[in-house]
Amino acid sequence: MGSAPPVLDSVILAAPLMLLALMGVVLMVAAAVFRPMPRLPFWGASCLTVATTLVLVALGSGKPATEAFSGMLRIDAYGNFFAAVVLVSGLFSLLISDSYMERIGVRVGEFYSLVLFALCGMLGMVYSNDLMMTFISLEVMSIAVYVLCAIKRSDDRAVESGFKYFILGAFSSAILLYGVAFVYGATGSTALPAIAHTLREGGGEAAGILALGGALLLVGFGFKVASVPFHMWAPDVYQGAPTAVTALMASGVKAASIAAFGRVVIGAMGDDASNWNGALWWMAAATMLVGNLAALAQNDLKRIFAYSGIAHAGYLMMALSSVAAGGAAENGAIGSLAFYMLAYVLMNAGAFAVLALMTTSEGDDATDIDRLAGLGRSHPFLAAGLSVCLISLAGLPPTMGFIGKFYLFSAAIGAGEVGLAFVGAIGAAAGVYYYLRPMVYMYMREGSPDMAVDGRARLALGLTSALLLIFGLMPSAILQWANASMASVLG
Amino acid sequence: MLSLVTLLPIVLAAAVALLPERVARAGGLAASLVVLAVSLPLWFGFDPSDASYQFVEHVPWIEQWGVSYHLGMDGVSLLLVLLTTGLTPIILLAGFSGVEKNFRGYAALMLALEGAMIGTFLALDVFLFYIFWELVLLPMYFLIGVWGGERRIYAAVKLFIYTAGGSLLMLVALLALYTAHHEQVGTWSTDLPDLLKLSLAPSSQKWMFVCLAIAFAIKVPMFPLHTWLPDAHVEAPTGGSVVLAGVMLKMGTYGFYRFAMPLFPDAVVAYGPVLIGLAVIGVVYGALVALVQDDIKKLVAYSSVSHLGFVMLGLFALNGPGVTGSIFQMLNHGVSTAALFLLVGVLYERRHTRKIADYGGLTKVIPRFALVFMIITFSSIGLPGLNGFVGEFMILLGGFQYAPIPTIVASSGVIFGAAYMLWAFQRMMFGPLQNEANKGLKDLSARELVYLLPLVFFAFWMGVYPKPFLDRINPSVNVFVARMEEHFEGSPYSCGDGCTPSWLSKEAH
Repeated sequence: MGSAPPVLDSVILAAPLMLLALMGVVLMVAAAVFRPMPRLPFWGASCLTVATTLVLVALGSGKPATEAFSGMLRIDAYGNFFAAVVLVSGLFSLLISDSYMERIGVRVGEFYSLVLFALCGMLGMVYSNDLMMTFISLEVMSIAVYVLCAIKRSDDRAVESGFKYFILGAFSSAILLYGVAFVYGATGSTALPAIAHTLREGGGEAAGILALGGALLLVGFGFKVASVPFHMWAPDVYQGAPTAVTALMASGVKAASIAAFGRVVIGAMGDDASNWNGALWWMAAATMLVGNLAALAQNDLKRIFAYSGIAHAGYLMMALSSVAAGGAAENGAIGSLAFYMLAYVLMNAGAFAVLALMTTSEGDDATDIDRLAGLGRSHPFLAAGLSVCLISLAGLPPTMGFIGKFYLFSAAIGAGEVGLAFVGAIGAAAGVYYYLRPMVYMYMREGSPDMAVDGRARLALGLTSALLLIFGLMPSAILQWANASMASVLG
Repeated sequence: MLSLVTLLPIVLAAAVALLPERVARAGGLAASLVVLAVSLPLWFGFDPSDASYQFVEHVPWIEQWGVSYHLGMDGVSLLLVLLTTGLTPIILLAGFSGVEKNFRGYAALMLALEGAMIGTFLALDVFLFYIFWELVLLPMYFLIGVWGGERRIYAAVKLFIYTAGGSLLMLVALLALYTAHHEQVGTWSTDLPDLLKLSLAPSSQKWMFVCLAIAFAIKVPMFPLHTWLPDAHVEAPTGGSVVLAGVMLKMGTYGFYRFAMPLFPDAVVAYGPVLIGLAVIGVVYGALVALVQDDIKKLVAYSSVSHLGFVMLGLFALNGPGVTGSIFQMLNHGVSTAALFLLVGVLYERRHTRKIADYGGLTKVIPRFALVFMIITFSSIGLPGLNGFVGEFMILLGGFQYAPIPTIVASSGVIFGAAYMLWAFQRMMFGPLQNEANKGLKDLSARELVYLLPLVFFAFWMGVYPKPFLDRINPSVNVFVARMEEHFEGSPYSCGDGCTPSWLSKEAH
């Protein structure tokens, strides 16, 4: 019969990416043709695309790891897990965006097209097995998100947010690319397995160049995941961007960047532990502390969630540091990274579903914490759902956030990173305060909050909070899946 | 059986939350009585001669991690569970008049709190224990934050941050222990009996013990980590104070007894003197601060700091009488301080003031109240014939054998205790009836008597005939003391045969 040409094989393997890219193009063209945009078809088509992609990823799971496009992509359980996480985040962002975009008066079909492009880039990042591929995917994602941030052109803050993100993002991409170049110079390859091989064989030609390249990579990834000291952009950008876009940035972008970062740490640079682990340790510790402490002083919910996202990037980097500290197969650090990422995406999606309802009648976002006062009485469902998400973010049982923290901390201690676990515990203790504050406003202060009515946002909130509780009490299935991803990336 | 007692309140809490407000009172009370009825067979089914855990339920839960759903009960957990199930209906009945808004939310949270506290006392898996431990915090936070006084939000947040901060330290230490089990045995387990089999280096025992001790000492609360307590008590609604003092503080001492001390015996030797020192400071300091309070509720709150200092002193005496007395004193404090807070609540509902100076000469107006108040005051200060005496006596007896000087200092707490309670009683109840507003005070109603008299009954029973309680406490304490002794032969803590007086040993019965 003869085998199919390898490119076709690769296309089939990468079907999720292909589908997203294809539908992104289709919607982009359609947006130019159909003006004004018919809401339901665009929203429906993009939701359906993401859902189908999720099904494709699920169908692909369980198969042995394979490489596609001459080793540019590696389709394995690790990639599938993070792809699913990214797509779940995309799905929840889409769920809240139709009526939200209508409320803020932005009715452009390009929005959906850009979301699909961003998701396509994210999938490329999580499957990427080569630094060039990582960079290109990162740019596909980032450029789409820059535009999404500024999609409400009439709003100065949104434009500022997009512009700020663009300037700093472009800068950091350039740094990342420099890093890739130096690593290439030192090891002679951009493919992760080849880099790992060279490092195991005793390092490349020039240790100094390798260290410089590694440092630049750290800076580039550090920016994308909003890790201290490269986190400054996050609060302003999160606050200025439309809430539906912020939801995607806070969860999907972060998940994809962490996944790509993780691949580089685990698959290639981890063997260069002496250079990496010290830097990762300090970045993780600083990120957990600064994120949590800075969030204490915020009064705007989007800024609170921006700093909370920084803190959580710190927890995730603690897992990466545990990986680099060695014994990754033993201590489950990668599994904890994967599990926590899913938990983080769910709790953020739920919280942003509520934030998306906090628009004023003029179509502006008004996410000051005061506006939650009295929500417990006027909107018991929203208040209860948001409380579940907040309790989970604070890492308290019986939620998935607690299981995730337990896993992260136990992996860190298993890797001998007791000090880092203590720093994390101190950060998390501070975090409890600002996660409680919205609950204080909702249940303990009087007020009559006006919230937009949107069944789909309520659905998103209901789903996420139910899942957070279910996986908090019965985490076994997800744990098994997360651990499978660990095995696949090490194999 | 144990699952039923633990989970039923939580299920009923959800049910009560859905009731219409007008039947919430009856529904909430009925639910708590059902839980009490379900828990009573435990008392009769429990075999006091058996020192091992009874009614054990052990089901794998998160198998990858070796986490299991493991509940079991010894005499100490039995009594603490019954204290919890007994106090909850009393609290809800008392809340009929004190809780002015949203009773169904109040009752639902109270029931959820009850279930979580019972779970804490029954869990034999550290993972499960931690979950219940944290779950206790959420209902308490809302009870204070929603139904509390003027500075309720400050008090609720302070309580939450203190406890959650301590809990995170505990989590890190428990995870280190969990990892150590994996290193030594090769399997993952969070099961308490498994973890007790480990032999850890004293240096690692020390830091883990410190983490756990901080978490538990915050809850107890021990000096100098007690500062959240007066705020929480003053701002909490009456029921919140009752459950806080009556049961929640015991979670801290129980944590020491069940987890921190048996898991890290070498660290107990090293840091025992420090903890005894802090306990004695707590006894004296709590009593002295109580002496100068002009707010009766604050006075009772500081008296808790003092009484719980006694409990800690007894626990760290590490001998039969000391530990038994300490457990018994936990129950006593649950009865008498709960009753004191209820009485303060009764007065507050009538006069909306807690200033001692606003009262005076009340014996003439409300004699029934004065009588109950007097009995409970005597119970609290340890008058022979009432429950407080038995516990304090045994603690001082045990403490004297190990640490005479600190115990002598702590005994002064008994005298100060008598001083602040009797002085407060005298200022409020005796003297001329000067304040016009007090002249029309109503005496205890039938409902108030219904919830106060059981506590008075127990104050007498436990004081006159404590044997049924001690019989159930002793086997558990023997196991505890034996475990401690096997770890320090030859150390100052070793106390030999002469330690347990014959009237306390099992053979005597």
